[in-house]
Amino acid sequence: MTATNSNKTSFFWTRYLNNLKSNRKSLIVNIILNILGLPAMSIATMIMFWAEDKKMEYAVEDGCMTFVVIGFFALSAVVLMGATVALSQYKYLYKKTRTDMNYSLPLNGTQRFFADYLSGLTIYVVPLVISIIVSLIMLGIGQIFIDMNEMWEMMPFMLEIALIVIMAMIQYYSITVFALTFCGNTFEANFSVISFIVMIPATIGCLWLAIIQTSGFGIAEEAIFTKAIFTSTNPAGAFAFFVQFVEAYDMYDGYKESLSKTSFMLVEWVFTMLVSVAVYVCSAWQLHKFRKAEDVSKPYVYRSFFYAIMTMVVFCILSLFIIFDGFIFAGIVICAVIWFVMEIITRRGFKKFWTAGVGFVLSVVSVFAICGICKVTDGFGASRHIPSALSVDYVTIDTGYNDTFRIDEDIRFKDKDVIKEAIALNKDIVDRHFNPQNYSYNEVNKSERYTYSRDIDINIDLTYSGMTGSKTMRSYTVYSGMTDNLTKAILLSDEYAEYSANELGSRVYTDGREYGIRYNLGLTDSVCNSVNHSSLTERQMNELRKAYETDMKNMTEDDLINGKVYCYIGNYWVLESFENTIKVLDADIPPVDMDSFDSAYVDFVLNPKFESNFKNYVEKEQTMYNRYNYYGYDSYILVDKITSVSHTRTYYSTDDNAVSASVGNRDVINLIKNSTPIIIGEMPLAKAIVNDRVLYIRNTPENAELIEKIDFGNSKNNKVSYDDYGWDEEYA
Amino acid sequence: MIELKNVVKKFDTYNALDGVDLKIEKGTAFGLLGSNGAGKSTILRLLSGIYKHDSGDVLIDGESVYDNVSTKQKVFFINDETVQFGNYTLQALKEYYKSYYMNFSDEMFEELRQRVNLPLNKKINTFSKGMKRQAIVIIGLACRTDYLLLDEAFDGLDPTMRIIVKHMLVDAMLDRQLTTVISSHNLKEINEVCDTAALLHNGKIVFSREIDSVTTSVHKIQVVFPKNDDGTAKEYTREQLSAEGLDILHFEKNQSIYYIIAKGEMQELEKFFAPKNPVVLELIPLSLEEIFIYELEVLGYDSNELK
Repeated sequence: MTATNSNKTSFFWTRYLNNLKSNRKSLIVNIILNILGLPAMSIATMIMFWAEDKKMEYAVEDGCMTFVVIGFFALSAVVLMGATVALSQYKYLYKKTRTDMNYSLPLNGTQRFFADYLSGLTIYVVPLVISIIVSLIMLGIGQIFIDMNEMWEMMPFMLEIALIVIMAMIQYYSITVFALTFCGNTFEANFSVISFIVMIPATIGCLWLAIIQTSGFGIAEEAIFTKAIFTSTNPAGAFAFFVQFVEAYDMYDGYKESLSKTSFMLVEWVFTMLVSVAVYVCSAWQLHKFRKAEDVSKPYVYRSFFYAIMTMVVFCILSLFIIFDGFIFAGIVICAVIWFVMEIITRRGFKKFWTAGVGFVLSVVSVFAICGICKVTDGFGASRHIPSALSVDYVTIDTGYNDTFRIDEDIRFKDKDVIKEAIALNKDIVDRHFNPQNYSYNEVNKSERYTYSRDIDINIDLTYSGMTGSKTMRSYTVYSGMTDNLTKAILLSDEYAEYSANELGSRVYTDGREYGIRYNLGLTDSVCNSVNHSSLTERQMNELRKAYETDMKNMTEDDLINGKVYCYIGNYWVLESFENTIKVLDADIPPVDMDSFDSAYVDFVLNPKFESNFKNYVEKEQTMYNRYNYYGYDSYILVDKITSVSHTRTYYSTDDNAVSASVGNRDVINLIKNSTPIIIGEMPLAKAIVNDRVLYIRNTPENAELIEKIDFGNSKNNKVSYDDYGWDEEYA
Repeated sequence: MIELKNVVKKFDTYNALDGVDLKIEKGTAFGLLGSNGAGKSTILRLLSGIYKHDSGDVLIDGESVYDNVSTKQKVFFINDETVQFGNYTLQALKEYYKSYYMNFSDEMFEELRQRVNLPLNKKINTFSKGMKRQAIVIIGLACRTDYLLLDEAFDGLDPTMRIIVKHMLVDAMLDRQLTTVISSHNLKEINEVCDTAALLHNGKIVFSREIDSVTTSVHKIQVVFPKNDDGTAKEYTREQLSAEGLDILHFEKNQSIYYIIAKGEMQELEKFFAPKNPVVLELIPLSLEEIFIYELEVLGYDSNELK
């Protein structure tokens, strides 16, 4: 049969299919490894669930673990195959006879490049995607016979993990293709692939270390792992993202809730990864397009990339010597040895070898220049850099575990006021660091140390996410009073209202089929007594959350500052103004029991003064050596205001001098009733220690008058029951 | 028609082709001759779209070749190596090229394969050098392209196979006006297969003509001139003869016998020497190989000097 004439102008798919055929061995190996991977692991999972159901998991555990270990190694091999597959797709670039064969075919450069790229990607990634689908089908069929609800609940998370792995594989493959296109020889191709994969993250890391070592105020070493330039430009960064993603996935928070939080993170990362992959692929395409067929067998078709790799190596070695105050001459000698050995290899001798010396000198000079510029510009001005409010899409704030205001990074504040106040706080801290002469502090006399209340300094992490997906992360320690405006803005924001409402209650894990989903409420009354309560159904919980969210959103600044606490749900207060919440609580849970307050005396700290280590922190030049070692005894200060919105602060008697007052006194009861966990940017008149918790007496005329009237004795140990004095009736 | 217009191709600083002008008419069998490194393979790689020229035009049927899919469809290039096909069977290699060349003829492939008796399903790296060459030639012919480019096409073929392959080429040329461009050091084969040839040296075309006219336009002349009246031998120098209009490629005198290689038709040369009343005048047409050697000798590519 004779083929007919045709004006076909693209043989893209012909090339694509021919490549699949030519590389079918790689494809078969990859398919086998994939079968050993996820489907085998799925079988092991099903066996485990079946055995668990039959109470005989110990009998199959070892066998299943073997499946899992084999699966892990098989999947690792699958991931590592990227370089091999890419090399086999583009091997014609390294041998003249193959170049002739491939370049003379009726294809143009673009069709040839993309057909090769896509066919390699198909061989590399598609078997994994198919194995995921096969595994899901297997598990789906297994679910008919075995109860695997727990596993299915985690499935969206597992699919997200699969997406991360696939994206990392695509990037690894694309970087390999990029490195292959600027080489003309197999040895240099392998060397360049390995170098690029290793040197990109290493160089970014070393540059980051240089920046924070030079001027790292507020910049954490680990912040690099949140930056797209690290997580989205190389496979090691993708792994760093993977670790963060798994960490962000809070198992105790419930899979559903975690999924919504991590999904945002994933979408952003996938987007930046796609951009990064597109850059690598387009660069490779252009290099491929402009490389000449006759350059085959040259070590480097584009020699500048060899120098880029070697300069990265020199930079990493020398910058570490500079950062860690090593003997720099030794660093230069090490670099020189590596440099000249590689030059001899890639030049295949000593031809025009003086240019190798020039290259090395230029490389070393450029490294010193970068480190010098880093020093002169205070780490390229990184620690002074604060994004403008206009460029910030959202900010996340993490205050970690403290008793002042716990807020974690899960909330994305798009609220303009929160962004504005976060930036204002940031500017204030940076200015205090770089212009300490403009600030004065009321320093504590050394002999008076430990005689004041601790205003627990807050570690605050601010992460600004720009409109373009960029991230600026800062970590500071401040005294609580400095966060007054930010705290107010946060508490009045819709995002916080939604977040806190969702945080109410903790899910009780029961067998879903038999009992349904239940939630426990950790209820305490306004004086921190635990209150008996029953668990809520999902409907009741949703109703409560909706009510709380509405009340929080309706809360005014006046309600926040002057409002009284009705009760606490876990770590969250319910103000008396929260009508909807109180209504739901009254309807669905037993009345709040206030009978348990059994102390005859309450401790107060009158006119408390609060000391902070802030000055020591803010004025100290921070490097990696002293970053976590700023606490000293020489410069504690007394602060002029504090902020605290949590009722979880425990009183330690060593903190300050407390006095006691009998709760038999009506004025004392009124004073306790006026105590509040919410004090924002003020100095309290007193601290009240109620049920071992610290509440504050705000500086109001009424409270001042009450304190004036009370006779504070020193009768801490003479506690009597509140019941004796009709406290609960009064409260009610 | 193939046209190269003032084509320059450089490899780094080395000028592989330096302003080459060449025209190859459709249906001709064209031989590319030249010293090593003259630029023959470079021309073939330019014509097959492997190399990109630095300046000038490389045209096939009026269209540029490089990166031009439809033009490359018309060209099949067989280079001087076969190692790249080693992992294929003949069947697989056939399928491979068949997918790219839309005019591929299974009948022709099968007919040619049977003529040279090549196994279909054995890996090509198990073939002998000559068998590998036969394999790619029959695939090239079965692709039924308009242009077939062969670099050292007959390397490794035994004499019988050479004849068979030559017949295959000639048949294709006669059947469908296939244009064949052959580069070879074996001038005898070029002489047998090609009707036109170009001689290249140092990236430049020395000549490009029909082979018949080449071989009849250069002659080896053995001449003895009569003695003078005083009995001394009549002497001519190369310069004297050149000044009189003889285009000399080689000049040698042994006692009274002159051995001259000169350009010109037989009648012209006879006419030139007639007034000198030679005692002996013998004109012998040169073989292509001899022309190759003497033409290049003029350009400084002299085997005696290169020794």
